[in-house]
Amino acid sequence: MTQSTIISAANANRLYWLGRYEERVYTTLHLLRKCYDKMIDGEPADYASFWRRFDVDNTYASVEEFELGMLYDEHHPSSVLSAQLGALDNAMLLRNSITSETLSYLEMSVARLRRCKAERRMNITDLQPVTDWALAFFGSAEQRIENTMALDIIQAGRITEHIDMLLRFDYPVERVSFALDALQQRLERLPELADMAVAGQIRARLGGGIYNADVRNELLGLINGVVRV
Amino acid sequence: MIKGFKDLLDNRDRVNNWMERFGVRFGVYKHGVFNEQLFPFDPVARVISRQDWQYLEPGLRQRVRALNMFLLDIYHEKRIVRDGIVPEEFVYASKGYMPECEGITPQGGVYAHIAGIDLVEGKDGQWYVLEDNLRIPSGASYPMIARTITRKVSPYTFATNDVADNRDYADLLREMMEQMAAGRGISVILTPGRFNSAYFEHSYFAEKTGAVLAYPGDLFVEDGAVYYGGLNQDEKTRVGCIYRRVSDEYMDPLAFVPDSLLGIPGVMQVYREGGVALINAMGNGVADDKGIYYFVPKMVKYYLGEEPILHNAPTYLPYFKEDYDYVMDNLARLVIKDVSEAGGYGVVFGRDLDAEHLAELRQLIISDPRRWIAQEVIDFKDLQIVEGEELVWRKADLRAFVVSGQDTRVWKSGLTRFSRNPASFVVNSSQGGGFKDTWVME
Repeated sequence: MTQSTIISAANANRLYWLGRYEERVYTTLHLLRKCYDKMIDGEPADYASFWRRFDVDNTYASVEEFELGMLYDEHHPSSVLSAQLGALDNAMLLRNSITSETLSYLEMSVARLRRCKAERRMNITDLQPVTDWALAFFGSAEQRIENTMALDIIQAGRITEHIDMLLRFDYPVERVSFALDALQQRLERLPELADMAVAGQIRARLGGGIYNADVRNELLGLINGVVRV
Repeated sequence: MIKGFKDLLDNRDRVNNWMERFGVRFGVYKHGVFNEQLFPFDPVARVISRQDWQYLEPGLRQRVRALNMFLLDIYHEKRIVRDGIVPEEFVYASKGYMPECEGITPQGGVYAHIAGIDLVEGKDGQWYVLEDNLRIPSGASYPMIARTITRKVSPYTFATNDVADNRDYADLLREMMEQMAAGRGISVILTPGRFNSAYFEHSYFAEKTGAVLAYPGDLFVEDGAVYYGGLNQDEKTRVGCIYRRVSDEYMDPLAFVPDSLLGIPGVMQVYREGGVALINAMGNGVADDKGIYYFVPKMVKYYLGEEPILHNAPTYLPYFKEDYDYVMDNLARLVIKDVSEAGGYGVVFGRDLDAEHLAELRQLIISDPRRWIAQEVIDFKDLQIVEGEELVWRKADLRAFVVSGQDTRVWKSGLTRFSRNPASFVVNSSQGGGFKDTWVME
């Protein structure tokens, strides 16, 4: 059959947000594991500081509610389940581009999260398969997606989200800078979508070696403008 | 039960896990709300013997060839009307007849590229056609993926049974689409989107055929051709064939429903001029109208000069005086169908109605006899399904798929749908039914 390698604007948008949402799932679970560990020795209220990183007010009255909400609250855009549904919603529209096998990792993750939600499971290790499947998803994408531009867009979304989360959680400049290198490599292959001037501005702001809250907020604004979809 | 099935039954949880993993779902709108759910799959396949298939296959091919000839005739010469075989009221009063299609000859003269023919097997072993679906018949993807999964889960079952491989359906589609595209451009599958009840099928076929899955807004008309648009305004690729899962009336807002957001403005003109193939062709609804169904055996004789191989269920048209009298006398034991409905809607069993509702139905038939057909209730074979830990018997039908391009080919499988309600004959998924794989034995 005569094949087309052209990607529509709508599909470019879906690929980008697929990468972002799935990375959000992976990173949120990673950070929650760290947060839970911190709470063992700290004050129960430490969870509130975690929540504020997402620029939202803490709406949960207890540690238990926080844990359940952060994992499964479908009405809260920063919960793991919300992000996972966001990834699946985009991926379902891309089955023919990413393959059923790649999509299947997201289907399994949503099913797992829904079951854990129904059983009010708060033990974070019950969600280890979701982390594993996130990695399997990205691995499957690398192996199975034949259209290199589609893969680059997913990865650009993934790295953008990664940088966003690094900034929100005050990771060292070196980590952010390293991730920005990876993003720029992808963007060089996506001239239609990349705003390299914005990437350069981020690089310049990171040059100072440290960032305070104001700089961080500015960087968050910039990173979300690097890819135009 | 045939050999090897026990292994598949013992592994049915594994099968269901794989169904979930691959997102084998369908959607249903109820009270305006979209709900998506896994399509209930029963692991006990329907088995069609080699002997039965040798009867069904030529019968299906014959029927679809006649229906294609009918469509070509209706939108051109209308010989069958002139010769008094089909009354003109049944053609021009049909909701599926589209005057806009008059004089249009689709690529190769093919209208029903994908036909879904619904059959049941009577308890006497006789097969009956219940319905022809020539617009957007859906369902082939489910036995396709079910076979992929069940072969994986229970190799023993398939090693001990000589079952025709049904995973070639995507090849049938791909070859037919290529023939229809005729080198003009790429093939696309046009879906209304995620919230269509058969969206899984659209995306799965796109993946398996290699066609582009196009959404509303992705396709546009320019200089007498249809294009798929890329990221930049000047980036586009020509489309030769559109396997559209969008109904006729929404395909072109310039020609039909003006506020349709699902279609492609101007596509009808390109289609008329032969610039793009539409699968299935526009206007097919006139041939799968429940009223026209009555005349299909007559079409076979008229166009092909052959005796029809497949039988219709005994059907009466209240339009004809003799049939009208019969229907009025036997209303309480017949099944009455509204010719303008589909998907299991508009089907009423006289025996289920009390006196008041029966009288209402009688009045409806009297006031508009053309709108109704009546059929004898076929005592069709029940099939075994698994319910909990038990095997129980339920009503089931078979949708056979016939693909027509340069030639007409019958897929060696089909969608077997069953009712989960022991008292019901209605098997449609939209009415809560489930599905089985269909094995054709070699």
